Amino acid sequence: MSFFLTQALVFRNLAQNPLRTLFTVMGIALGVAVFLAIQLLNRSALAEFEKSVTFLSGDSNLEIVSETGQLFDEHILSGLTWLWHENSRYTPVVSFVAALVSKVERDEPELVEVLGLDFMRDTPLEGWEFTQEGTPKDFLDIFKANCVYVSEGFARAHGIRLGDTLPLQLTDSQENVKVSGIYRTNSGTASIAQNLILGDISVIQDLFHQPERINRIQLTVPSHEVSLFQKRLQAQMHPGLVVQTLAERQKQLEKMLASFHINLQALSMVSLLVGMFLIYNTMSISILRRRVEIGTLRTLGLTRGQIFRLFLTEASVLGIIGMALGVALGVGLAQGGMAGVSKTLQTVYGASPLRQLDLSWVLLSISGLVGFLVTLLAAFPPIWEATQVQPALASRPSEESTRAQKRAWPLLGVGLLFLLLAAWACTWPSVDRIPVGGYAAAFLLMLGFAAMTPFVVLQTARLIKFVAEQMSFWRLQLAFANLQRALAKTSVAVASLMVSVALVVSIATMVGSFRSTVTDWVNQTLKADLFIEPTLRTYSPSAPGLSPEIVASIKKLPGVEAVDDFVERPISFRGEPTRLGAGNFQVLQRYGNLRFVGGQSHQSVFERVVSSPHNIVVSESFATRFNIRPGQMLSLPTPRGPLRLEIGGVYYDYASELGYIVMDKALYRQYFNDASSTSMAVYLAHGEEPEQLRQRILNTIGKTVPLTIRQNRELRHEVLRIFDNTFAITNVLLIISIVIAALSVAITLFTLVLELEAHLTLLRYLGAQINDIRRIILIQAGVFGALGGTLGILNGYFLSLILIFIINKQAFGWTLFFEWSWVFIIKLFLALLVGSVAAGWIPAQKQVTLLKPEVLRRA
Amino acid sequence: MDPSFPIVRIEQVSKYYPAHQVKALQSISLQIQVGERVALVGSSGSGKTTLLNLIGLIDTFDQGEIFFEEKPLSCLSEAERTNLRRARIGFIFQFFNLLPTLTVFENVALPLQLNGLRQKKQIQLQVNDMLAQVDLSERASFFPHQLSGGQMQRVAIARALVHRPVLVIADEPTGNLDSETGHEILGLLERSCQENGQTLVMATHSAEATRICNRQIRIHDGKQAHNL
Repeated sequence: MSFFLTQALVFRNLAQNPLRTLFTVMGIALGVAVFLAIQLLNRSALAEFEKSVTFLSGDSNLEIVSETGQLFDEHILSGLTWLWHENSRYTPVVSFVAALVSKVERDEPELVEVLGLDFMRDTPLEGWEFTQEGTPKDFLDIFKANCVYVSEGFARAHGIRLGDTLPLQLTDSQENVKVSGIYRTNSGTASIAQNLILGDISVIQDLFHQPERINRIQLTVPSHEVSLFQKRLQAQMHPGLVVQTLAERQKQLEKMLASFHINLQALSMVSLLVGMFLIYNTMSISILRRRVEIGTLRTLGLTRGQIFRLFLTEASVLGIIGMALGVALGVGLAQGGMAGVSKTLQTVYGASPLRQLDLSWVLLSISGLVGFLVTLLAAFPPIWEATQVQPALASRPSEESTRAQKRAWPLLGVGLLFLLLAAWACTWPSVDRIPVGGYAAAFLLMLGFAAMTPFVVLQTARLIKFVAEQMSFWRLQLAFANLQRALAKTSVAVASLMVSVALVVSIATMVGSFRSTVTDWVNQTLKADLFIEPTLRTYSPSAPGLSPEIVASIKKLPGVEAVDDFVERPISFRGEPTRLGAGNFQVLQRYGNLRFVGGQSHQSVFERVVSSPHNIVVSESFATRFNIRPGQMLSLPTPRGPLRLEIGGVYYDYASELGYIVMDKALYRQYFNDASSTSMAVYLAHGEEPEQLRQRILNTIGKTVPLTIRQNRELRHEVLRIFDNTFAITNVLLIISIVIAALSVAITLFTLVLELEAHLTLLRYLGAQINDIRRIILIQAGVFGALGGTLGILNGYFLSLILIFIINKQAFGWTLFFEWSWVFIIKLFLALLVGSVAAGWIPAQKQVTLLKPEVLRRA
Repeated sequence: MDPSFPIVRIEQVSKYYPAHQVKALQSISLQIQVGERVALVGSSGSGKTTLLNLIGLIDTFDQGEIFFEEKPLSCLSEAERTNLRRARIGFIFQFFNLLPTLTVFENVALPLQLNGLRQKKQIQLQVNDMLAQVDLSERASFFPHQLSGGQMQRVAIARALVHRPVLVIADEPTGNLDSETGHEILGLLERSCQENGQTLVMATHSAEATRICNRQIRIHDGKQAHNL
């Protein structure tokens, strides 16, 4: 096909329908933007971690860490000296989280990671050097008490110079450190370097009162013998210590974030799906409008292949423009969403903060390409339809309506088949915690409802037209006759709206059910009067807990009846990241009120658990992930070797999808040699005022240890705040999907009115008033909203069941209690009606103002 | 093509529309010679347009055979029919069917380009010549919506004739025009076909239109009534 033809038939058509072109491009751009933004955020989070590992590890290729996430004794180093003779080396590392004192009082303290390295021998850091002004006057200063190096960026941000003193808030004390050097890192280094304070390992151990304790040992062994060294080293390790490659560490983080990332990926797919329907809608309408034109072209000798290429070019042009805009928009969207995602990753998962996007050309290209391919995929069915237009149709334009009506019944059958397939997909098990069956069921359900839409529209139009005829409501009769006549276009538009409404209803119902479940859970299980935790832990789960002395002094305070001092830490179980918690089971038995799976009462479970020292409880998500049931035994790695434990009960918990293993504190102390507590639940004596006790604690212990103390209702409120923050990105994506859907409806209404222009003009010639025409158009617009809304709500109901009982359960292991909000549904339905009528208002105004004789020639 | 051979030979052709349970054509047999101008007449729904579509290779039949330039159409693939239609036939429709996004010049140039003519000068020459014949040279850059009904039909005639087809198919070419414009259009068609030795097959209700034809074929309820 010549360029002239393409230019004349494709580009001019796009230019002559600017609104349609604009809306379609926007739809594609938004779909691509959301997809790219999610990819960028997911990729950047992992890249940030990768870069921080590279920066902190240098050329190390193995590391020794505690399986239980604890500090361990550095004396183990003496057993590693053989490595020197094997062309290998090793270095110990210790790291802690602290906050800048001047920033602690702010809403959110500025956290720093304080890293202790062996400056005497070998620092594993990659690509760093001192700045000119920051070069230490004496390189031996780093071995002096409280002397540290800070990064150039950090020094600039806080106006720090060489020799300055920096006040740091540690968990239970404040310390001044002296800046004896300022370093810079290579470009491309992880943003972790920005808030990284370096010191000699013994200085940092002393600063944090953890003498001779380390987090990890980094090893550099001959690269071709890594696995051999890994085996040899593992053989000499104490129980609870594990030798792993850096790739294994990376994999652990990927596993930890898997559900979070998959959830976001699914949402980005939703945007693409809605975008696909928009593209399908606009291409279908474009082709349906031009059937006579296509027939003429075929009559004049254009082959089916040429028709195919013609419309493929049109879709490609739209796809390329949408892709380019979408990529730009996606980067902006990712920049905007970075802070929120970073905070969720940091506070919920303890991951590195996200300060910059990993803008790789490969990712940008892939996302753009995905958007382009999705455009072509969505455009394919209508384009194929275009190639099937018979040349004879040029003289029989009314054929389209008959064809569409005839197809309604077979499509109903196809739709029902899809629904059956969706029901079958619901029974599939998950694959690596990815709810493949759930996603397939959701997609099939959407397709099923979309396929049934023409039948529903046709039958509704027929029924109401019949009733209107009987009652002589001529405007209603004409409006429904028009819908029936333009069934193909009407059905595509209603299906588009239906998909968007279904997504809104299902995601809102899922989030609402989740929130309501969490609210019930919080109300039932949070029974203590005060909840105390070190302020630093509020912002970083890796910050250390409270010392036993502080816990003991709070227990002794007058008015305190009981304290459940809880400790939690990340651990690895069967090679998967999860969490270990330990609390005072006797206090929990007496004051707590956990809800157990299977309907067992809190009392009955804890009576059994307390009486047997090796009995534990686990959270539902843990039980689901590892397929564990009450009464089963499990083996937990501890510093004293494997510990065999019996599952006393599985409790409902929504704090982390990684799951919890919870044991009695006494057993934990015995096996983990750790007396610290990460939080405390305080039960007051009858008549005691929580606020008074809070003030008493803040005025005494709180003077030296920054504590966050929340009353019962405050903590409940905080839990829901975190919940809402976590779902903030979901809401943003939802709004974008609604915008895409609104574009879809607007395009359809504009097109439909244009289609009926001749018909409506004829009515005006025959004596219909301006208001009559306006009402007919508005009735049609309202019918769109009502039909799309009703089908969407019905579809959304089933979709929300899949989301809650299949996808959520398989991905996160949570049981959510289904809650269907009629108030929300009615509001949404009314909003759809008003929105559709409003969308019809502009074409209605445009149509009724002019009487165009030339239009009648097309009647 | 030898003028003594028929350009179209139809033998016992029937066409059904099962969806509407209509027998559109039943056992039609006729021949159309090269250079003939044939009018298909009959009431609405009699099957004129269906027969025209079959002769014009834009629809298929269920029984019998049609020979176009002695080639049996039932043996041709869809692509072969398209190629034949593109090169040998010109179409004129009642509702003009001009492509709205193309100018008058581009609409007329379209068949030339579809037939593989690439030289711009040659295209310009042929199209300008054709537009001069239909007296629309000054409207070459106009779009269809800027033209009157008569002007649109003249463009359609120019488009139908520009690639010098052997057969011109016209479906109610004056059905949408006033009598004066219709008269003008018919004159143009007659003149063009005579000058170029083209065969014309026209479905019409108009008595005036039948006057420019050598022969009339009456169709009644899908059957051939008689030749006039």
